[in-house]
Amino acid sequence: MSPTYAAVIGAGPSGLYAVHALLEADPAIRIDVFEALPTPLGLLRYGVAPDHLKIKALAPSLEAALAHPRVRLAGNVRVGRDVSVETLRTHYDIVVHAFGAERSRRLGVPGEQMHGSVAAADLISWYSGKPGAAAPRLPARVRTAVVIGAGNVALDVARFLARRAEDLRATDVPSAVLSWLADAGIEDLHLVVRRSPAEVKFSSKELRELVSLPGAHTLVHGVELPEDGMVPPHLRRTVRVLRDAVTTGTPTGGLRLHFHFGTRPVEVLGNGKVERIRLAGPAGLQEFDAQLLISAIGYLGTDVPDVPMSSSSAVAAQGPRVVRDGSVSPGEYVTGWARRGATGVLATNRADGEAVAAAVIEDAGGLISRRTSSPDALLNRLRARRIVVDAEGWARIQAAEQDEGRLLGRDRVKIADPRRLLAAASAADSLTREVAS
Amino acid sequence: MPYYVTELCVDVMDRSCVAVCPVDCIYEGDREVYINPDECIDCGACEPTCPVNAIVFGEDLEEGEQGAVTRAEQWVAEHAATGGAKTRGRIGVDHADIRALPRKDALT
Repeated sequence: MSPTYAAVIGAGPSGLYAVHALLEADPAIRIDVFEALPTPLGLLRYGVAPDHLKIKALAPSLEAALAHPRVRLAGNVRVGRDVSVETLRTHYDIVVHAFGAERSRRLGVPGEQMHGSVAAADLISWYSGKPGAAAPRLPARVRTAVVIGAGNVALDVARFLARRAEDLRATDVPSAVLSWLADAGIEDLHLVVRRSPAEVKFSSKELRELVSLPGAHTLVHGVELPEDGMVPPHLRRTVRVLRDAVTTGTPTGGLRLHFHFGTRPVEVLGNGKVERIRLAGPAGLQEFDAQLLISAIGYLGTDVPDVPMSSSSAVAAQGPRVVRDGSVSPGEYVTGWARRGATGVLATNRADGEAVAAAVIEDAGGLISRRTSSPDALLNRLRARRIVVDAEGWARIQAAEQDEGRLLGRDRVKIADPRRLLAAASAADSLTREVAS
Repeated sequence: MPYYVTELCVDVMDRSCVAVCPVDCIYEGDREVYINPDECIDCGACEPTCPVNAIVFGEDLEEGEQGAVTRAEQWVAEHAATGGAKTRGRIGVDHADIRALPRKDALT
């Protein structure tokens, strides 16, 4: 009996957890993992904050799936552009959508398109060295920055802005990011939170990391912080962190962190570039000068042609099974942010991946495959048209990044230029070609 | 700083946290679970799954809860609770401080 051939779209945490679970559930399955970027690991590499080093420790166990003899990485192949979902469905028995949620939710206020107004995802892609990420339009000097949003992404971004460049030298952030941060000179950082302190989404840990940065002074505007009894039990510690951090008196020097609760942005003012921000809060309208505005109010689904969406952020599905035209689409599954929308932590994807594997096993008996051609034929066609990064290519990229780090006296420096990544990935190949010619 | 399990877990031991831990570092005693502080990667997956909010980030522990730190360290060392909770299986014995606690009334 022929083994089951699976295509997983996306080599981020959700895709790789699905690969692990599928390998465990079906000892004969063969899996090709398609990844739009030249590099795997998705948000673990291009989303987890650079100073959250311990979580990055998950990388080796996650990417171990890519070295498995029945798994192949097909990096630098964007499904929907380089190959269609329909083509995958005729070359594989099973297709698993694990392409995350790439687009940023917009604020929808006048002026937000101005220079100096940046979506959190774009800032994060840049400071994480995501290949092909355009440098966000950041002013060279920023006295006052404003972050809109109340989740852990907002706090990640705020912490990045609040840090001194030298604190991040031990991480793998690109050198250009360190120089921008060193020169920006932020003195005031405003966090604008629509919810009240008793309803915030961020964790006490993330909040503590921000307010306890050296030199940071914390100020809360617009509301009294509620007593424990007014706060749901799971948020009490978060509110306590804030209460303990609040600076009394007038802080001088360092960085001032301003929390505005129950507040939303109304308008961005300026002449082509961000100059002032107008907010509406419990005390009415207020306005102040600012040069940088970051919106961190959530992500929308990745736009993949021919994938049915049930909302702006999630693929149409019943549990892990994709739904097309009102009924379950045979052999088509979804996991991670593509399934849930942008919620949960990295490890949430493990249970999601296991749910996919369980459904695959449950459906196996009745599955009528649409596969009419071999995965090898498809990969060969792709390789003839473009560089397809496999596990060996990824290993060469990592070696190149360590070499680069050594030159700069850092452990490892990410290569962000896609052409250089592809050159590094195919270095041995071109060497072989040179020797042969 | 890792996450710790406070006494709120005792006699509840729901174990939702064990299932979501990506590094499988939450080990099972008799009446509560213990996080191996050296294996925890601070990912925060366990914290919101706990029905009694027993899991707390180290720096957020109140003065009266510091026992969670010493308990975890001593218990993990005493029972060699490392290398993955799935492999290790149920250990079934608690730290002396927990054994000394009166049983919480069973919920009816």
